[in-house]
Amino acid sequence: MTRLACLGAAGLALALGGSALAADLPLKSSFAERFSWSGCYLGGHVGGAFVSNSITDPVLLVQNNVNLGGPGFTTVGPTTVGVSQSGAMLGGQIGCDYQFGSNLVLGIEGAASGLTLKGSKSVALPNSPPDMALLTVKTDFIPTLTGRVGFAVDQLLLYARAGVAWASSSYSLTGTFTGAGTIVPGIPFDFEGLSSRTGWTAGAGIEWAFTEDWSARLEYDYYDFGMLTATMNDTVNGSGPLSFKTTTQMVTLGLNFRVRGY
Amino acid sequence: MRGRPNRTRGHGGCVAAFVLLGLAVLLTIGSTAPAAALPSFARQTGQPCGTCHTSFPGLTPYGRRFKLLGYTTGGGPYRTTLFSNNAGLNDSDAALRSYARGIDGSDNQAPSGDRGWVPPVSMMAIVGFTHTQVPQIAPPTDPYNANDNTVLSPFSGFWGGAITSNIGAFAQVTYNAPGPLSSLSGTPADQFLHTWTWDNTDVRFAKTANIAGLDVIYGLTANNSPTVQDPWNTTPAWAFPYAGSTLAATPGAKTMIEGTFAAHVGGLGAYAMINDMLFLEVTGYKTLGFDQQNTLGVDPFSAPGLFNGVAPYWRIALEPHWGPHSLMVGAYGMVFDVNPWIDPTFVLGTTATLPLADRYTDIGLDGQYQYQGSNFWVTLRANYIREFQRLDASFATAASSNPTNELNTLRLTGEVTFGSNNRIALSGQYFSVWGTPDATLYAAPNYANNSPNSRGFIAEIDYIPFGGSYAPGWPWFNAKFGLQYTYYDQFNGTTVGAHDNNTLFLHAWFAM
Repeated sequence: MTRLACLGAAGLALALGGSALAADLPLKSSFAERFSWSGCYLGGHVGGAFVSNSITDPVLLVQNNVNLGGPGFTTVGPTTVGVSQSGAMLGGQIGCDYQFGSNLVLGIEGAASGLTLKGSKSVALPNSPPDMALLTVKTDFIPTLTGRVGFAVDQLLLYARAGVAWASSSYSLTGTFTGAGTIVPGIPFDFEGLSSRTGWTAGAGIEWAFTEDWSARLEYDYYDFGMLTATMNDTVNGSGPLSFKTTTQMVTLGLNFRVRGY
Repeated sequence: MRGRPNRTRGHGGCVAAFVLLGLAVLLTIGSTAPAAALPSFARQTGQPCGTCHTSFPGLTPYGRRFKLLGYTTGGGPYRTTLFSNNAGLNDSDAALRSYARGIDGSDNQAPSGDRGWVPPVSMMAIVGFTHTQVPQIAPPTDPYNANDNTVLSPFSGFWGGAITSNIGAFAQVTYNAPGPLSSLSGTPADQFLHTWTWDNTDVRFAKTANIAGLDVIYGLTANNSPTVQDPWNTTPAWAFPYAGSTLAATPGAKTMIEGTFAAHVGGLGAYAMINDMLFLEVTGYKTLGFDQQNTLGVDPFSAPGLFNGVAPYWRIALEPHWGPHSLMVGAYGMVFDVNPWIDPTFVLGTTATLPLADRYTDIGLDGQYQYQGSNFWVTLRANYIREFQRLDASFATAASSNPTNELNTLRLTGEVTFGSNNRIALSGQYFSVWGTPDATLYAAPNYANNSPNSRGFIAEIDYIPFGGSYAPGWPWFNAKFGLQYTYYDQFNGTTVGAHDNNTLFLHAWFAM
C-alpha cells in the first residue's frame, strides 16, 4: 500500500506538474499571438429600424389652403400628429480601428444603409367632416460617419459610437376635401415633400472576431434628426409648410472582413 | 456605375466628402500595395488599377480582355471562387498576365489564392458639388438649393468577379436620391419613381478555344442595357463622361441606344473575339413587364413604352494592335419596335400600350486609338450614332408632328493619363446632337425652334491618388477626384441662353 501510495503520489505530482506545464504553453502562446483590432475593414449589415415622427400641422396645411378651405377656415389650434415608421435595412460599412497597447480601441467608420421605412396615419379634418387626410412618411437612405471607442478583451470588443448621420425621406399628404359636404365633387389634394436631413447618432455594440479576418457584431443605434420644416407641394393646389421632428432607433447585425495588408 | 446626368431624377443627401477622405487617409496607414478600380476585381486579379483602366472606368486592352473572359481571370491573393481557384494558368490568362507585367513593370504577384475566398462585393459612392452658370432648379427646390449643391449620389453595391471558373458577373444595385420637388409631375405616375434600382448588370459565360489555328474567346452575355457589355468606351453605356452632375440640366434629345432602355430590358447574346482582333456579337433584348420593372426599382414610364417582340443588337469591331499601339474601328446597331404607353401619366390607371409601334433604327460607327507610353496613355475616341425614326404610333396619336424623323449624336473624346499608373487624367470631349425639327416632340418650353439640337464641350481633370502600383489601400479602396466643366454652345434647340446651363462639377468618387 505504501509503495502504491508513493507511486500514486508521484503520479499525481507528475500529472499536476504536467498539467501546470501544459497550462503555461497556451498562455505564452496566447500572449505572443494576441489578437489586435488595429487595421481596416469592410463589411455589410442587416437589421431593423423604428422611426418616431412628430408632425405639425397637417390639418392646417389642408384646411388653410386657398383652393381648399382657405385662410381662416381653420378654427382649431395647431395639430401635431405622431407617425411611426418601421422596416428593414441593408447596408455596407468601411472603417479603421487602432488598438493601443492597453485594451483601448479607437476607430472611425463610414456606413450607408438602404431602408424600407414606411409609416402612415389618417388625420381627421375637423372643420370638414368626415374628410380624412392620409399622411405618409418614407425613409430609404441613411449614411453615417461615426467614431467609435472600444474595450477589447482579446477577440471580443465592447464599443460605443457616435457621429453624424444623414437621412433621405419623402412625405405625402393626400385625400379629398369636400368642405363638410358643401363641395361636390370634392377637391383631391396631394401634397408631396422631400428632405435630406442631417442629425446625430450614438450607439453601442459588441463585436466578435471569430477568425483572424472575419468579425461579427450586434449593435444598437439612436438617431436624432431634430426639427425640419419641409415644403409640401401640390401641383394643383399650391404649397405649404409641414414640420417634422424625427428620431430613429436601429438594431443591426453586421459582418466585417478585416484587411491585414497584402 | 456612371453617375448619369438626369435633371428629372436628380439626387440628394448631402454628405461631407472630407469625411470619406479621412477614411482614405486612414487606409494609407500601414499598407503598401498597388491600387485598382473596382476593388473586388483587384483582389481577384492581383493587378493594380492602371492595368485595367486608364481613367476608370475607361479600359485598357487588358481590361477589355478581362471583360471578354467573363470577369473570371484570377491570379490575385484571394481565391477566385469559393470552390475553385482560377489561378490564371491557362494560355489566355498567361497572356494577360504577361501583358500586365509590361504595364506594371514588375512581377508583383502575391501567391495566387492563398488568402482564401472573399465574396467579390464592392461599394461605390460619388459625392459631387454642382454649380451652374444660372440657377437651374425651379421652386420648390426641396431638398436642394436653387444652385450650388453638394450631394451624395449615386451610391452603389456590386458583385464584381467570378462565380465559377467560366462564369462571372458585374452586377450593380444603386441608390439615386430623388430629384427636386419641382420635378414631380403631380400625376399618379409619380408613384413609380424609385430611389433604389438595379443598375448595370452583365453576367457572362466565357471560354477559349483554338479553331482552325485561330485563338478564339467566345461566350454568352446576359445583361440589362444595350452596350453595357461592350468592351470599348466608345459605345454609350460606358462612354465619357463617366460621372456627371445629377442636378444640372442636360440636353433632352438622345437616341434610343444611348441608355433610353437601360435597366428596362433583359438581353441574351453571344460573342466572339477571333485571333485577338475581330470582335463579333449578336444580342436580343426584350423589355421587362411593367410590374417587373417597377419591382426592380425602375420607373417603367421613364422609357417610351414596351418592345414589340425582340429588339436585335449587333456589334462588329476590328482591333489591330502592334507594339504600344491599339486601334479599333467598329460599327454597331439596334432596331427598336416600341409600343408607346397609352397613358404615361397613369391618370387612367392603365399600364397598357398602343397596338401600333414606332420603329427606331440606330446605327453607330465608332473608333478608338490607344497608345501606351512608358508612363502614360493617350486615348482618342470617336462615336457617331444615326437614328432613323418611323413614328407610326406617335404620329397617329399626335404625339409627333412628323411621320419620320432622324436624330444624330457625335462624340469626339481625347484622354491623356500619366504618372504612376495613371494618377492624373486629362479628358476633353466635343459633343453634338442634331436632328429633324418636330413641333410636338421638341415643343416649348423644354425646346426652342422645335429643334433637338445641342452641342458643346466637356473638359475634365482627375486625380487618382491611389492609382500607383504601390498605393495604399489596395486591393480594398480606390478614389478619384475630378473637376469637370461642361460648356454649351447650343442647348435644346437654341444658342440663346445656352451658356446658362454651363456646369461646374467637382466630385469625389470612392470605390471600396
